[in-house]
Amino acid sequence: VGSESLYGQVVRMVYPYAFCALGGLVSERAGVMHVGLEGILLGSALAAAVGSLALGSAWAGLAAGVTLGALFGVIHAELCAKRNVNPILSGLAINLLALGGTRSVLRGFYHSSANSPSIAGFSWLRDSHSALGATLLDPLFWLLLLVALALPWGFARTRFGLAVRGVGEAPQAAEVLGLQVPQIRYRAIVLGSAIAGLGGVALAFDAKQFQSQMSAGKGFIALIAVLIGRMLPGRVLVACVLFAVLDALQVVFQGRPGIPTELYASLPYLAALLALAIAGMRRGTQHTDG
Amino acid sequence: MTASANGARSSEGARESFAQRARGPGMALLAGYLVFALLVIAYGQSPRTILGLLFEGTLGSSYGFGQVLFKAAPLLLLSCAFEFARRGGIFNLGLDGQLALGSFAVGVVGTRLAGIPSLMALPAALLLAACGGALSAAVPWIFRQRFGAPEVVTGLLMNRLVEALISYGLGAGLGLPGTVRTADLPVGLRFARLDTWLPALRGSAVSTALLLSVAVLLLLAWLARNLRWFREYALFGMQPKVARTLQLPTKQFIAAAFLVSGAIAGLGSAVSVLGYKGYFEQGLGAGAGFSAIAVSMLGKGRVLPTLLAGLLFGALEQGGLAVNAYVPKELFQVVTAVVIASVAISDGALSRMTRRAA
Repeated sequence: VGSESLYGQVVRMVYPYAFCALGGLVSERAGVMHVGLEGILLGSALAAAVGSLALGSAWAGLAAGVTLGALFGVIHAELCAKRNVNPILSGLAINLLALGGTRSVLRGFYHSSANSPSIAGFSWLRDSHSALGATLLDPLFWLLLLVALALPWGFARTRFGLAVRGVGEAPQAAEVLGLQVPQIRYRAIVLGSAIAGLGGVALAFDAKQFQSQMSAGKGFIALIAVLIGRMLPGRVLVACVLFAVLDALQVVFQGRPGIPTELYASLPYLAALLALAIAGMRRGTQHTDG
Repeated sequence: MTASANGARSSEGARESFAQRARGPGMALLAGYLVFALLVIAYGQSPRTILGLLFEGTLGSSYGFGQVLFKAAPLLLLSCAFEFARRGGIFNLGLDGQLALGSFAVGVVGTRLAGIPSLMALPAALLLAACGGALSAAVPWIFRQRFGAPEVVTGLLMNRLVEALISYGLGAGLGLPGTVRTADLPVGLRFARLDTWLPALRGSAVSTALLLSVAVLLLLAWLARNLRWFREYALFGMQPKVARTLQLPTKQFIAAAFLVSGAIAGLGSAVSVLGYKGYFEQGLGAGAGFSAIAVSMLGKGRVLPTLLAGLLFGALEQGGLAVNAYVPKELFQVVTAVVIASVAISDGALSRMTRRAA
């Protein structure tokens, strides 16, 4: 297995993690943990497939995925920013909604319990491209670059970005300064969820179809990437790449003698725990309940 | 100290009138039904017909009712597990992993309990189940205490990790070669099917493990009222700062919240492994966590509401199979999501818990 194919695997694996984690970061910066990322990943993957199939265009699929992400974000925000529901419970509800909803829609639209009909993704992306060429031709790459560059700039320079940080770091102080805390959280959650929706689009375009439960815990791993990256876009992205490398190793080494495949499947989760431990130790354990 | 612990109890709802207590769950169930009806209409069916089928498949026959009881039993245990942790201020979202590890432990070690009288083997198996569940819950506990990692995230992660590790274990010699199950447990190591005494339930998988579920529910409700430790524990869950000021053993409370909750969840294997299959199989009893959380939120540790909610969600699981030919049974997951969100909106006590670990 050449290094180029490993590179290719990593790149395709990184999009769902990265979009999801950057979206989750926006919400987390506003002080709301986004447990619903997993559901958004799943839901927007289906939306991307439905949009592509219904309108015959990958761009329509992309728009549908982002829209569904934002829609789930509205539900999430309506519950936890406006109605004071614990974000963990509203995130949980989002995940369950996506789990049941995608399977119901799958059956209602395509009479299948497993997957949607196949979609083309972006038609100009072919296997014949070199790995690097395929990356540069993929609109998702440019979108990820855009999001990754826009977020640090936004948090540092825009009024909204500063408000989000203020609301997340010191909600009471922000309120005293006249910021509408629920409203700012609301917008941050919807924006973050829309970004996370791009992760679902990437998932569906990569598999060339929607598959039942195809998010497979990636949303939770993304949540961990936000934590260990300490809500800094650059570090969060690095964490995502590391998780993508582990996923890619799983694909590349599949079927080789030595380590059994099932053990590879647990690698990203073990790595996530390890990363949490290291991040926790570096932070020092000032967090004590006793 | 006692006075404040008692105060904590009353604000959990003991002094509210029935109407006040029933309002939230009532509205949630109404919202759930409305969404159900809308979705059924969207599938071109009539809600009344589907509801009829649902009744027929569950309460319409004694077999169906037995199946409802069978499905309700693990939901009750898992909801007790969730409720116990919640009282201590902890969200246990790792229920599925805890149940799976408990079941796996019973399936693997249980086969080595052959020859031991069932009066001793059964408690031993339950102990194994509890330990398996607690082990899975210990990871989020340690990570929270040592590294300050939010238990919600680690709990969800453990669900996945346990699944992967079990799959590895089954392939690496702990299961029957070429299958995803363990060997049969010794014949004595079972919870008897209820249909041995109640022939009307014939064919349904409900077993005496149901009694274990109800016993755990009753015991927890009794302890919550009568044990001073439990009241202080609940006080910590609601007002950690106050509990710390009172110098209550808060570290012990956190450990209990995780480990006891995990142990109760692990006991769920009594229903599936010991009461039904007689062996462990990958995916056995999986996916009950969401419904169990809904049950727990509707019941909030009270015996009768929890039982009713358990029966309702048991009926939805069983009834889903009955209506699946007309509408996808996964609709009920959407309905469950709506119920969870609605209870959360109306219930201040659930929403007030906004402690962030990170």
